[in-house]
Formats: sequence, structure tokens, C-alpha cells
Amino acid sequence: MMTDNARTLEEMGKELQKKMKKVLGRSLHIRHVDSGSCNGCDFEMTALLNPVYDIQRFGVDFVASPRHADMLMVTGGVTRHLEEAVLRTYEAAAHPKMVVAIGACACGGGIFGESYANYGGVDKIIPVYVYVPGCPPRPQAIIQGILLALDKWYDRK
Amino acid sequence: MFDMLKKIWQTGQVTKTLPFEEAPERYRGQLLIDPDYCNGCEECVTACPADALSFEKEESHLQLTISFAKCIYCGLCEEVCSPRAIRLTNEYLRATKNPKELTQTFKIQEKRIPMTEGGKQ
Repeated sequence: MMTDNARTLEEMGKELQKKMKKVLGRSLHIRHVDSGSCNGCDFEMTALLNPVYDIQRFGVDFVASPRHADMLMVTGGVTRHLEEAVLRTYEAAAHPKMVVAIGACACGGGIFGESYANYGGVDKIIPVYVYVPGCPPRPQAIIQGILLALDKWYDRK
Repeated sequence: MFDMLKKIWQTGQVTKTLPFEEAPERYRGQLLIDPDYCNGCEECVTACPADALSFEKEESHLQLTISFAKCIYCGLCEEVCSPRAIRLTNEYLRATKNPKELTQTFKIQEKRIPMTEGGKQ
């Protein structure tokens, strides 16, 4: 069971740095979009910036505007009121519009499911690059999600 | 002061450079389902709060479908499973590019009728 888990954070970070340079040629900027999540996944994403994980040393940063972002990280199954926010953020983002769905809700509804007020998955509204299941996913799993998204962006050419 | 320095020297380095090798043993991660042990009692479907598990009846067997896009890793299915076919492991790196990988299906043979002594039913 421990084949993939045995990879350490440092190894993943170094791989991330190398891949970013290869694929983008510069650092990676992420915009976080909350589409009606319970804040569990958001806390795990914030944990990426704390001194324990410290993803900024690998050249990844969270930015305040989608205009500066290469990647959108969406948490939460899209609610009726936040559908517009997700769409407008997606339209405003710069060209590599890599969308990473973080958490079970963003992947396919999660505990909230599909209802009149909840779309149940980001992929019903905008195209999604990578799905990171988990409730919430660990920060390492989110780093793995970023790696996979960069892979997919590179393979597209 | 020298005692303190001596103690520091004797203890050496305790902190680990790479403390993130694996999740704690009791971390609730990826589900491991053994279809051989499952008797199709559907207790897990009743217990699941997110409707992540479902049973479908096929011609010759039952099909157990689990959706990781819904699973919240609460571990209730593991608790109610009397033949212990479901187990939660501490595996957590599950990001995927393909949404089809978020659902897993298992073939489960017909409901086994408990045998009495001598092999008679």
C-alpha cells in the first residue's frame, strides 16, 4: 500500500519546481475559488502556505485576482448563487486556465449531493483538469494534484 | 550550564528532516474492499451518509459501486460491515486526471446462505 505514499514532501516539492520550469517557464500562480464549500478544503489549502509545508519556496503562490492566475483551485460543489462567481472567475483567468477540483464536493457533489441549490461538481459548469478527492484531501494530495495538472497542460501540446 | 550543554550533546538531533512519509495509522483514507468477503447485506449502503456506495443486481452477480467523488471517509461502512469486507487504509494520494477513476466497481457473487453443520442448508 505504501508505494506512492513513501514519497516525501521534499521530493514532491523538488519535482514540482522542476516541472513548473519545464512546463510554464516561470512560477505558478493560483487563484482560490470558493464555490460553496464548508471551508475544510480551504483550510488544507491554507496549510500549504504555513511553515510546515511552505509551498512558496518551490515557486507556487496564491494570488488575489484571477487575472494574475494560471490555475484555479475550486472548492465546493457549485451552489446556485456562486455559479456566476465561478463562471466569471473562469472567464477572467489568464490563458492556461487549469482548473483543479479540490475535495469530494468539487469532484462530484460529496455529502451535499445534487439538489436544486447545488450543482454537484465543478465539471458540470467548467472543464476540470484534475480531480483531487478526499474530505478534505491532505496538503500532499493537493500538491500531487498540481503536479498532475501541469502534466496534463504539458501533454496537450 | 555545562550540564545542560552536555545533555544537549548527549541527546543529539531528535527532529526529523522528512516527517511526511505517510499518514498516521488511524488516518481515514482510501477504502479497500475485498469482494470475496462481502455477503451483499447492504448494511454499508444504509450507513453511508453521502450515498457513495450502491448495489446493483446484475444477471449472475451483485455489483458494488463506490464513488470517491462522494465518499467523505467517515468510516461508518467499515464499522457496520460484519464480514469485514471494507477497510479504510491510510493511503491518501488519489488525485486523478480521469473522472472515471473516481468510481470503482466490484463483482460480488450471489448472497451466500449460511451453512449449518454437515454442509446442509
